[in-house]
Amino acid sequence: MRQFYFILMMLLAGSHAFCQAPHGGYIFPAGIQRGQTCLAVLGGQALRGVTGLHISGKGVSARVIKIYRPYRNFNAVQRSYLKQTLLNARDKILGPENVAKMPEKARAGEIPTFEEEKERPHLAAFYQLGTKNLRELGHIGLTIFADRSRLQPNRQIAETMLVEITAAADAEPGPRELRLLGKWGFSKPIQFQVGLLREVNETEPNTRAAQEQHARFLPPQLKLEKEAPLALPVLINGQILPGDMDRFRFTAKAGQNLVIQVQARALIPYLADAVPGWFQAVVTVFDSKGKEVAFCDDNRFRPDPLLQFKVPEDGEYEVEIRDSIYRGREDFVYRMTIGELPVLTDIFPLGARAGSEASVQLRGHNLTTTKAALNTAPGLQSRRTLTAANGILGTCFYDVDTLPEITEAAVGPAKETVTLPLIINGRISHPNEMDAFFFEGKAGQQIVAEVKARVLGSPLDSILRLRDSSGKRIAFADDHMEKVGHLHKEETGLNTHQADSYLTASLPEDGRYSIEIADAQNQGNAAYRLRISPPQPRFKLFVSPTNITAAPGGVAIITAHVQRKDGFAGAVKLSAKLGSGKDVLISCPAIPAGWDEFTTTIRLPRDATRGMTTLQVQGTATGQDGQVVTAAAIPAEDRMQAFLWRHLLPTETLMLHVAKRGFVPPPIKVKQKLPLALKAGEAFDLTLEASHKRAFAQEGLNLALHHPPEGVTLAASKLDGKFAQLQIQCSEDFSLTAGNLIFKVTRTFKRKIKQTGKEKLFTQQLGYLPAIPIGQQQ
Amino acid sequence: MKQSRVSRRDALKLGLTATAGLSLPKLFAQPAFAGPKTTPAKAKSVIQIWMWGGPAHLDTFDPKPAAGRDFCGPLDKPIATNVDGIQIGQLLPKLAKHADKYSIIRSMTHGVQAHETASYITQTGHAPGRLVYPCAGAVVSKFFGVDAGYKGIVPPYIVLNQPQGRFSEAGLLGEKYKPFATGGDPAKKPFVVEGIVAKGISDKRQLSRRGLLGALDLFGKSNPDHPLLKQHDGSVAEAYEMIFGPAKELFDLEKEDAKLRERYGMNTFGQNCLMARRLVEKGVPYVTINYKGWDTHKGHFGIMNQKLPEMDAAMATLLEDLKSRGLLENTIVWWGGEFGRGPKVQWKAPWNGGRSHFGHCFSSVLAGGGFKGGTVIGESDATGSEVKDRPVHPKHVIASIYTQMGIDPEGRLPNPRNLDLKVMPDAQDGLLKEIM
Repeated sequence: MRQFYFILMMLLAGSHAFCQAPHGGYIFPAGIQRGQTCLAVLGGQALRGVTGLHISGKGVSARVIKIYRPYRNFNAVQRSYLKQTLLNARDKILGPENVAKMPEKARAGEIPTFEEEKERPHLAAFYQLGTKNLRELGHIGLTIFADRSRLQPNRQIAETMLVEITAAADAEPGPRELRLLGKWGFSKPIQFQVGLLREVNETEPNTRAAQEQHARFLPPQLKLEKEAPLALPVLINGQILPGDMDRFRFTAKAGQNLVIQVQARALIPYLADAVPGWFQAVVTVFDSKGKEVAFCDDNRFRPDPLLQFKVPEDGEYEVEIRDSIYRGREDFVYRMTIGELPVLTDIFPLGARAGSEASVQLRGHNLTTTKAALNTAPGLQSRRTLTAANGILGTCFYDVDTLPEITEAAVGPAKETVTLPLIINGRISHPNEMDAFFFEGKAGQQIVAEVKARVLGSPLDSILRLRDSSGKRIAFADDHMEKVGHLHKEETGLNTHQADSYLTASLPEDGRYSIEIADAQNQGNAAYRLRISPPQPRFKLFVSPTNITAAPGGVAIITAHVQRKDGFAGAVKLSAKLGSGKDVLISCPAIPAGWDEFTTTIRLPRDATRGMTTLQVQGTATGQDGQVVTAAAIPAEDRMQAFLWRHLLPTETLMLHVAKRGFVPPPIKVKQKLPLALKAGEAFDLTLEASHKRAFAQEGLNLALHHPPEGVTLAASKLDGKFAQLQIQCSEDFSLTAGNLIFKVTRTFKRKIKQTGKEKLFTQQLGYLPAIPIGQQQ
Repeated sequence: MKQSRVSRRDALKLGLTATAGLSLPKLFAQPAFAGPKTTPAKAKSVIQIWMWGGPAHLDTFDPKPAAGRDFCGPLDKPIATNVDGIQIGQLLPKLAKHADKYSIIRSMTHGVQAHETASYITQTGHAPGRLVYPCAGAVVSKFFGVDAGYKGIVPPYIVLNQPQGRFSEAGLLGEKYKPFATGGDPAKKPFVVEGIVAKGISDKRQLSRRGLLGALDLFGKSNPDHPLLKQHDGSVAEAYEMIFGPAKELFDLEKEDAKLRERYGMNTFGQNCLMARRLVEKGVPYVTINYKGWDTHKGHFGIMNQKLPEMDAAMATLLEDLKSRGLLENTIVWWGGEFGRGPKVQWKAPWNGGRSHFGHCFSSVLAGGGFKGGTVIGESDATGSEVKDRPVHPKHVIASIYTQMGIDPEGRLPNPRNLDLKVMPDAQDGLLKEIM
């Protein structure tokens, strides 16, 4: 029965692998006030198979209303249909009297009909067209039909989907992860926020130039009504299209300390196909005479602007938001908050010792509280988020460690004698300030000095110097890049300038030494956490992707990234559990010693419950002192920035979809001794024996190596009945003594193309076989 | 008032023309040579086909059909050429018939993935550093141009049509050796050449503009002895000579046989290849065709289906045309971009079947000017991801081109700052001796 099951799964897998998992590019609006329901447009690719949405946390639900194909695919009749529908909606608002005054050619014509309903075009913007005002209709018309439309086609966001999202009145405010569930997998997360403030969505056109253009859509005797100024506080959801500048009017009173906070890059941190690789928002405030009174293009080292604006006099003001170089596209979405609101900008100190009772000073704008307690419970990730009281904008981070700590008392240059190991919570208060910490060291003693500042949100661009008692410089450190090739493994995933310093040195003789810390940019006003200690070998673990789909018993691929610290070079053994606590088998669980990246396979339990669940991965290693260290893996997406750089972007959870159907390989026995002893310059004959006699008998079935180790190729393969005979060829310079081989299973078949009537060859990816270890035999 | 019709743009055009090193001669002549000589020169001219953006080596001159769909996409059926054992991409059937005329380097490498740096390295042969080195065109212009008594009817270093900007420029050699970029589009009628042929403007009107410009030149009149202005005036005068002299004829592609034009392809690249042939025929030592559109991050294979046939027809006809006129023997045709493209196809969003930048391993092609054809230099691995044999760096290609032109790569590169620089140092060990 089980054997039949395998064959059946192989066949059923066809439709699964042949189709793509959905991809979500953006959602507009990118958030909602709790207690409200909103309509949102989600842009992406392969949306046609979407069956629902999954939003992390409690209290937020969503339903798909309609999925729309890309607008550019419409033919002339369909475009005419859209145009006439739009004009008819306009004429309904204008009324017959006004329409009669218009020239004949400007009036709405007959709406084309279609023999088949599926030919009728649909656009998300046309949903509930009758409820839209003239301004909105005008903008839809301009966007679709204006010959000057500068919107570039972007296939990855060309399909749209209308969704209705509801946030319960008690929904926790903050960011959520929204994923699209499809028939053939689910998407990587896109960010959706739940807020406390009243929200409005921008109504285009809201720039003067666009309004002039818009006037062409109206009969000459009619003018656009002027929108009332916005009442503060307010959160505006907007979208910047090419050349777009959104302007919003508001009234304010002299002396008000207004804050304008923009979230743009925070929503979509990286765009692979844009330079710069995110929507780089800038905001400007104008007074009622059109004079610029405030401008902001960042928030310290973060690209999203945070503008603090002391209102000079009572009156009407206008805020403008745009891209810094006037780009624009559908995924340039933003959330802009305006009001005399509390904003947390930074904290001090930047951390505390695990298990201690600790609090921090809060700094920011319009804050009514200046202290907050830290969660120092041991065992969690060392970098933690400070959850400020509801309604306070801004997020800060702190660090929890097990070493003893001191906090720099004085504001100004510190010169303190310290005992190692130690973590110093300090700050560079003024430009050109330098703090120095003196300690006694022994000849040959290894010491490490590590700064945590940028990683915790401090703007400090640190430099470190180690000096001996005569003042001679022994070591120097500036930026410490956690990077392999083009992949940045920075812990936050967001810092493109890894400015924190890391210094390691062997002390030349017994004596007094000093560690100096300063700001390379001479800015000051920045906190830090400085660890001076002997090496503390340890590791951090990231795992990707964060959207895995497999059937019960199925195999999926995971990649683990190891961030090694203080000389830790050992092997790390992976283990994984489902959200239910059920163990998941990892085929080659050991990340070889010294490796920073390792791809292997997981196999789901056959009795895994279908549906969405989480997957928790952890790594265990033995330190040099024989102590066993365990670290939970941080789920992270491998995201590309501006065509080249890649970043590991942490996500809230690693989600796993236990699918109803999919490729389930049978139990397979490797006939050779494990681990496979591959040798440089030699061919290795590998035989796989499946538990079912016809497992490899299916016509068109192929095995190929997935990301083979360097120097390894699949020279030949013969699939016959229950056996797969494979020849693995190693190059002369092959030198690996550990690792694995992962085989990808594909099927090639012919299918007739409906349009041409010709047969075309398709290759369909079915899935993977469990990883096979390679290495030196014991 | 006609005076109001003179635009600032026109005045600027003339100004730019003057600063682009157009000390224009009056006679036709073969290029002379003023540099560190090496063996007798085999080549007199170079046509550089700059594949702007980086062409996919797997889909052009280094196909890997065995690598599978993840590497080849739909282009997995390479074709045989007229040279035994050499296969090229399936969308290059015309070039396949001329493989005996060119050699393929399949082991180009510099490891850089960014356009700007990679362009600098492939155009100059140097890694970025303290000094900004000139690109090969500027070096050739230095040794074969006006310093060497070049008396061609157009400047010695021409770019068809859009300049690359700072990556195809003269670097430390100075403004004088920058290329003259024609602008315009030779596939259109007329071929509007920046400062030479203007659409819809008669010669008479152009001359009246010149008079007007002189009348408005109050600054020049108040500083008649200023050396810079004198140089500028001279260049403007020469630019006008070019506009109304034989250069205008040279850029008139209507003078070519219509069938030949069609064989080249009635598109920008095709007509640029024809224009390049006309230029080298008149003794221009260096012509660069900046062929845009190869930065195919998205929808790569659709673009290949459109562009490769265009490239195939034009380049094959260029080789054939040069050969039939006896020009190929002394004209180097150099094909390549700043890098290749990622061997592994990026099927997922946002690329949807795109190829990324790839500087670890890519291909270049050399033909004519003493380079032997029908040869493959170097080898890439099974997927075109790594150089397997005989790594060739851009400096080796450039030094080989210089050598064929009679310029000693180890010779001194004269420069305004009088620095002790060599033309293309440290490249002797990698010269393309297999085809020289």
